[in-house]
Amino acid sequence: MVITGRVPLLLLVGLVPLVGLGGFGPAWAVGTLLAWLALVALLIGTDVATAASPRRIRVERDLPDAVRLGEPVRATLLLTNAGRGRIHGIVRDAWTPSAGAAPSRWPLDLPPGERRAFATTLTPTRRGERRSEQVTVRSLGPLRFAGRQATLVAPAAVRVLPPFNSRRHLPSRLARLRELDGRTLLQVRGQGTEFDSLREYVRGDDVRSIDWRATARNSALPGAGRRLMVRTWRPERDRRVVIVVDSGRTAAARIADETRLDTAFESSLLLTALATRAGDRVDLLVWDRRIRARVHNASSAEVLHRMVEAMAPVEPELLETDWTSVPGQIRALTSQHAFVVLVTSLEGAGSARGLLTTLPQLTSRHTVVIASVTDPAVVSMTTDRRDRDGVYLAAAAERSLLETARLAAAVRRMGAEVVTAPPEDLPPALADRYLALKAAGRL
Amino acid sequence: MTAVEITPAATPTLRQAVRRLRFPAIVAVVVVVLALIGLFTAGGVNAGTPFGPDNPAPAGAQALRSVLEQQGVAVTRVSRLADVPAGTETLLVDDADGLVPAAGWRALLPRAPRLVVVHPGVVALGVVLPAAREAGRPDGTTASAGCSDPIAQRAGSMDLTGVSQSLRVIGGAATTCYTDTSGGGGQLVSGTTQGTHVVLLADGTAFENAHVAEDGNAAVALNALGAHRRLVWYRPDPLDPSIGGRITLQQLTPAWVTPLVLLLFASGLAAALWRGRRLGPLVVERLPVIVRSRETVEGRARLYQRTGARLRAADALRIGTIGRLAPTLGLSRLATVDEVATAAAGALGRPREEIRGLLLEAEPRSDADLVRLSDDLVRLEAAVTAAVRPDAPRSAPQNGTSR
Repeated sequence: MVITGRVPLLLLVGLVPLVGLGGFGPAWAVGTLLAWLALVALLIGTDVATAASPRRIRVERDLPDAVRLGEPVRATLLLTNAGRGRIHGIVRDAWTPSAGAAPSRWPLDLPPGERRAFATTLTPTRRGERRSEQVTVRSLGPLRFAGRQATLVAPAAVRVLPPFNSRRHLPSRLARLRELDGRTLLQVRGQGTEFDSLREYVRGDDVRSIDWRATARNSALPGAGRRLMVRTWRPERDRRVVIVVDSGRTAAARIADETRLDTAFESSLLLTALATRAGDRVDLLVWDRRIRARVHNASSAEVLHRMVEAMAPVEPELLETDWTSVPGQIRALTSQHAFVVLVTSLEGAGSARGLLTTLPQLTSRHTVVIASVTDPAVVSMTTDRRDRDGVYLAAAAERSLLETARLAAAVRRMGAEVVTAPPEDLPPALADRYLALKAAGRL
Repeated sequence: MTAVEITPAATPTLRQAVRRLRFPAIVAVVVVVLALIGLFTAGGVNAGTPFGPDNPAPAGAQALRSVLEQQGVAVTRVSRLADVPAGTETLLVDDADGLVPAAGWRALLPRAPRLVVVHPGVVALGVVLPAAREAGRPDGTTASAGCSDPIAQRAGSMDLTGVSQSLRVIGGAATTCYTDTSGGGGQLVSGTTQGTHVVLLADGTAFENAHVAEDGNAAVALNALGAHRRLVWYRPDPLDPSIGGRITLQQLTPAWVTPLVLLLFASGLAAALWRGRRLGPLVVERLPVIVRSRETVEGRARLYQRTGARLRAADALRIGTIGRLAPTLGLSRLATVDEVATAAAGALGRPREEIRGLLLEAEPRSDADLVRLSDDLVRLEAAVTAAVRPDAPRSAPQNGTSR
């Protein structure tokens, strides 16, 4: 049961007869008061009794399954009146605040047997699954004094995917990948480079790549003339890329208005998009003390889609990451030599100890890159030395930079590579490192 | 038209709500009933009017009144001075609060041949029996009659539990009975003023329901009050204008004011219900943890500052400077401090000892020293950068972010 603003107003109107009749004596005053209260109660009761039932409604929804963070999406609520009375009132769709639903309530005028659509625009503000569990219908009586209200169970969910803002870096990296393809010379002909084809020499090709045997054979052919043939190479293909994202305690830290985990996801997505185009196969593991998300053996067409779906609900856990189990997890993903990317943080010897003890196991089998977000604020702290507090802050910042540098050096000694960058630069930096390793044939 | 499948509701229907609330409602009713039963059997929590003729509480005087009525005395209750009839046989005045003024007592005195005053105050004593005075708390818990008054003669001794007032007589013709052990004051004083036989009972506590059955207390009261067939029990009303009571605000306001306030209250309540009713239940939002990344650095800075770890802070700053100077001067990353100092001195044309002191030896003794050292390091870095690369802009000291 609900009442509207007309009830207090009507009660106030009762002051007129009360003052008018109350002058005759106390009994008149009390009688008028009781009579007026009874009148109002009667009107409320009549209105509640004659209001159409808010329960005789069928709720349907029309909304997409998933949306990228930051993009608006249209969700439609369809209400069918299955009762006999005309429902007049208000309806509310209970989206969580982070779903960014606007509007979330509408005036309702629903004749019996008819259906109406109520459109809202969802602009989610956070990754993950944004839900609406209920739809509340308030049906007012003909006098608009009071009515009935019911909450209907109509669950809906929209999956908010990581934004993948770093995809703007993809075209330039793909162009560099194409440059690698069909190049005549690789500085280092590693074990992973593959012979591609023979073609005619053109001005500008490295003379060292001329295949004399093929040239000789070609000249022997009738009508071929004296043409020089060069060998072309293409980068290795069908390598395994395993991305391990650390979703533990340190991933919750917010750097430049983005958690480390979000940056890690951006980097992973850019690397995945690039590696998939380059013909490599990408697996993903989001890990703290257990598997938070895992993408394995996805075909190149769907790997990106599966990855964003898997990442969507993951939030950082306030746990210390268990690095000792990571080699086992990677072994479960691939038994071959792989390009393993660990997206974590290199900050402070305490939190990185587990990583350092496990790293040799990984570097002995795989090519390992550790990608870590640095905080530009810490770097800027070292320069702001206006007063005593600033100097101490600068000293602490220098100390933390030193620790990071030492950790990176230790990691390099163990045979892994390190990529550190501020949040917005980490995805392209990681992609560049991938391209460099690929060009060098070290995958 | 085919029946449309309706969506189930989470809100309970009226029947479900009643069923759900049945048990709590039964419990509530049982509790209320038990509380009411307890209230009635315990005789009320409120003590009621002290020495009130209708008050059955320990502090009341209903027992006394009932016994008087059983003995055939007609008790009439009066609360206004003007209502006290002129032809009264016995008049009991219970004026514990001292409301009746001297003029009131003078008016009361001739109205009855026998005037019994309980709790007489200074004003009352001055009019009805000028020889009597207040004498404070009596000593001991019992008092024997010790006088010739027939009331006391017949009653025997009195129990003084809870009694805090007594009277004594200075000069004048009056009898004092039930004088306490130290001989200070008595409980019963009788005398005659302007032809009226005046009986003063110093403290009504002895005749309240709780104590009236002790010793001869009941007999004293009954003897004092039951001398005639009709008794007027006068208990002054503070609002009585004839004893100086004021007209209250309530008497002046119109009759509709209280209902009006009630109606306004009802309207406010309705407004609260109208605004307070939510359109459906609250939505729960699970919020993620937010950890600011610079907190650890700030915490360490405060730790340095609080413990006065100046040398440690200075060393951190120096290591940063040396790390940036080495590549600027074209030295390897692993160059020693001496090599860096020598190279910097060469580049700037300054004594090597001075730069070595700045980079290694100087020990800051105070915070001011530390700030000075920090400034010197910044200047050194800028000077070296300017000397080595005159065209380069003065870049902020910065560690390589990507390597």
